[in-house]
Amino acid sequence: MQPELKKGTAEVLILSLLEQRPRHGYEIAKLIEKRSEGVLEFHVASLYPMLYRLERRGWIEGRWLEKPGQRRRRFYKLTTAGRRALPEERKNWREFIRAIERVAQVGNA
Amino acid sequence: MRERKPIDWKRYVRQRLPTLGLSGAREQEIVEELAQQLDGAYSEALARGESVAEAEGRAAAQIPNWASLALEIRRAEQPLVEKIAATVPENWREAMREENLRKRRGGNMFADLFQDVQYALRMLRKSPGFAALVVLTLALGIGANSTIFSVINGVLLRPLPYSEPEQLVRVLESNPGKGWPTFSVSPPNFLDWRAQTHSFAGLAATENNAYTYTGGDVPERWTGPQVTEGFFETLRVQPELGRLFIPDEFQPGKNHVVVISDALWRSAFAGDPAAIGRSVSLDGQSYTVIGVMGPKFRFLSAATQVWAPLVFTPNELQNARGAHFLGDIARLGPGVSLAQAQSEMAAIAERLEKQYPVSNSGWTVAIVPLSEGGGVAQIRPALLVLLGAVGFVLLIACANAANMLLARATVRHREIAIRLALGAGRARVVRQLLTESVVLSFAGAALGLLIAFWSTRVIAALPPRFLPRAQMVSVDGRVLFFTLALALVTGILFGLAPALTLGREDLAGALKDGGRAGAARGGLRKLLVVAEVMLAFVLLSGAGLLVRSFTHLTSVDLGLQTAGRYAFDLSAPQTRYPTPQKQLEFFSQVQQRVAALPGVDSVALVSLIPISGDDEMYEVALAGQPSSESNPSALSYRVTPGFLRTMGIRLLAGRDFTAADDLTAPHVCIINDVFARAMFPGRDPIGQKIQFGHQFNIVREIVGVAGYVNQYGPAEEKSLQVYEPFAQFPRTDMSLILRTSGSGAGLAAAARVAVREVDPQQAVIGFRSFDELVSESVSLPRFRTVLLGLFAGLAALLAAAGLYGVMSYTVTQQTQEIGIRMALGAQPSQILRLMVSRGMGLVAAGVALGLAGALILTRVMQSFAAFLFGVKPNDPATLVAVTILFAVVAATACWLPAWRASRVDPLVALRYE
Repeated sequence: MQPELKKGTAEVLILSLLEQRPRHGYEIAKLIEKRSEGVLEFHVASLYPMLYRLERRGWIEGRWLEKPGQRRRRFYKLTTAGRRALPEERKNWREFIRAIERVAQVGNA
Repeated sequence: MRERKPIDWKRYVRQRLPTLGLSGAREQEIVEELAQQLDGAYSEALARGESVAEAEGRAAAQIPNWASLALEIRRAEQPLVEKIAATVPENWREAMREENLRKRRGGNMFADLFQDVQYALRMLRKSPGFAALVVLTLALGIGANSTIFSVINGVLLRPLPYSEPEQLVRVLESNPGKGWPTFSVSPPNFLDWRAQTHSFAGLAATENNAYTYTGGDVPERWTGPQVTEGFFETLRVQPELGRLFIPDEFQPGKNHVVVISDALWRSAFAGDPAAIGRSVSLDGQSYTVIGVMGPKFRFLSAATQVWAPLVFTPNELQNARGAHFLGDIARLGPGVSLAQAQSEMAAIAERLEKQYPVSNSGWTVAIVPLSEGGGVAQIRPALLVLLGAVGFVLLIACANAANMLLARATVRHREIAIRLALGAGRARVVRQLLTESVVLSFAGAALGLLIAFWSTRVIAALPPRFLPRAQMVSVDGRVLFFTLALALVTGILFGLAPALTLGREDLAGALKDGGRAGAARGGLRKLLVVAEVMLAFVLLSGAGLLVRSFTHLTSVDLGLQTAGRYAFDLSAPQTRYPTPQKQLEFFSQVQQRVAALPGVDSVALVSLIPISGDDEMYEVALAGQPSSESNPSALSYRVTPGFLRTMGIRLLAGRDFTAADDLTAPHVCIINDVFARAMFPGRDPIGQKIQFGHQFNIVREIVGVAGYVNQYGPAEEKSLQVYEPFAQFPRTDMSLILRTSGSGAGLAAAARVAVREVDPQQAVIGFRSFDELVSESVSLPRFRTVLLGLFAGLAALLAAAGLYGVMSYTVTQQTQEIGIRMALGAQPSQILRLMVSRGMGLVAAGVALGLAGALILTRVMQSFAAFLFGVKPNDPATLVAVTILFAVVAATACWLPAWRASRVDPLVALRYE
């Protein structure tokens, strides 16, 4: 798969996970791994730069939170811009999937 | 078991992660976050009951390559511009320096323009292949336009080389009833006009003439008009040397003086000023050279060598009101319009018509601007159509150039994004891009001018029958200005769309990926290709119709054989051969000597060479009917026996002339089949008697009927023709026709020797083959067919190149898709079919539009200039042929990139970006 594809995938995944509530990096990594039943294995080497990129783009925002009795953690939440961008990203993603399916069918025909 | 000291993950990360080059606090944050990630993995593993060593391994495996992680974080973290600066390849740095410079300098329009041009030149130097291709494409388009504009400028626009040339007109006779819009003038009519009119500041008649000059090594033919008093004064010209005619020299007996052309002065007198006053022998009579005209002076024909006074004979003045053979020149009086002069002259003609009904009924006057003379009126539609054609070629060239720019936009758009990021205004960027395209179009124009220089030189050398006023065609200031204006418009035209698409570039998008924002551009490119195909198709259809017309023209049965036939002109001047008997003897001796030449099969004399375009027409009537202007006219040929056979003209009935048809025998004639059908419908013409023009009172008996022979060219309307025995109507000027089964090489020289043996004073004039004559008769159709064909071919080539470019681009863009298809089992042949069908879709759209355009345009072309001969504007054969031709060319242009696509290795394609 081309890098472009992977990048798009991960971005949609991260944004979707943050849609429900703010999460920290480790949690995001675990969730992706769990929900994709191990198919998408995500290296930290990819996740954190991705988070920083999305933050720079203004779609997510990270903030250090200290809960009582725990060390501080950096929680990421979806910004208004990110919330607005998500449907479009999802749509692009679905289109890509559909295109792959179409091509696959034509190719087999 | 010893309790292990908990691992300090922060330190672990700090030791391994290369410096990020960020602010200290931010680096700390990142280190802390990554440490938590490792700690999380470690703790989780321990909680699962794994050993410390195993848990450590889990944590370490989270980040296999610290260097690449640092790189990725750096990329994600650094501010946009710095990030770009860090990764900008060397060839983009220029753009940044430029932009910074600009900012420092501040806005100054001219300085900006200068900078823009410099920058454009630098950018183009960096991709010389691209620049060369665009410049060449534009040069072809602009060169074609400059050339045709030079022709139009020289032939139609440039003022004639006389003072106040717009006042100069030709006053001609006109007989609308006989289908002659303009006609030569008869001397009595001319003199009456001159006596009665008040419209003109000058009015002078001319009569074409030719002399045999015998002062040189060999006899030479000098041509030039005799002119009446006021000719040079009307043109307002002065001689370069000597003087012009004085009134006294228009008196009979005092008129043996000549003014000669600069060219003749140089060739016959070696440019010696002492030529003035020299006596020369013309047709055996002595004339005095009194003046030499300047090198630029020409009247209607550049070939004119000599001018002499025209003095009418008493016979011409009294009896020749129906004999039309004069040309003339007039200058409108001050404040007199063409329409005023026309109405005055029409009134005069009406009076003359009442006064001389026999000769003048049906005749009126047509005034034609001099600038319309010499075939200019006939060539104008052809030139305008050609201008339209080269306009199409340039549009196609523009579309191609735009396409190339759009393809390059893929490469350029990161550079543009950088400049936008650095704060350049979008308008500024668009202007920069337009400057680049204008620089390209100016380079194309420079090359195009070279093409025009070269091609106008070729055109200027064309004979006048091919293109009137051809010698006026050159690249002058006006052409230069036209070309520069064209270059500017062209540059903006083809640069605008690419510049606007690039200027609208989405900044983030451009930097995000390597150039996939090309979907909109792809659509535009396809549109351009459809337009190109459409324009090229219209041009090819037009050219196809002309080619079909031309083949029809050249396959017309001319009524004679041309192969191995040659002709030259010959005179027996009255001064040396005063009696008809002596003239007959001279011609007969020449005929015998030429017939005896090796390789010559047969020889005949004729007064009017068929297919030459010259004419000699007289009225014709059944015996006993009076002479009248309402009588039909027939072409007159005086011939020797055997002429019809020598020329390969069919004798349909009766007999040819024989040696017995001489001065003492009853007068006989042969008519053509058109004559027979018109005058003797349903009757046998043989034995009928007619009266004919030049000696109307003599009754001739018809002894034969010949097939129709073309006189003016294949597209002419068929006219009546009458052949008479030369022996019964001798004259001083004849043409000799000879037929050879050999090659014809050396015949001219041999004929010259033969004539010299009979009379060393007489010249062989204008030796030419009948193939040349026929070829000349279709010179105008050939001119427009060849040029339009050339431009249409160029258009098709450019359109094919454009199609190829877009297809190659599309294939490159779709490499991934092709890879996926192939990975999923598509066969190369399927890919090939798919890609070709996509390209052919564009072609089909273009051809459909082109077909509609062609149907409209060719109809317009036909209505405004009757170019087509034997073909209808919607000729299905032509349209089908052009469509097939186009389909083949287009399929080739699509097939190559598609074939490349079908050979793509799926693995490579999938990885392709």
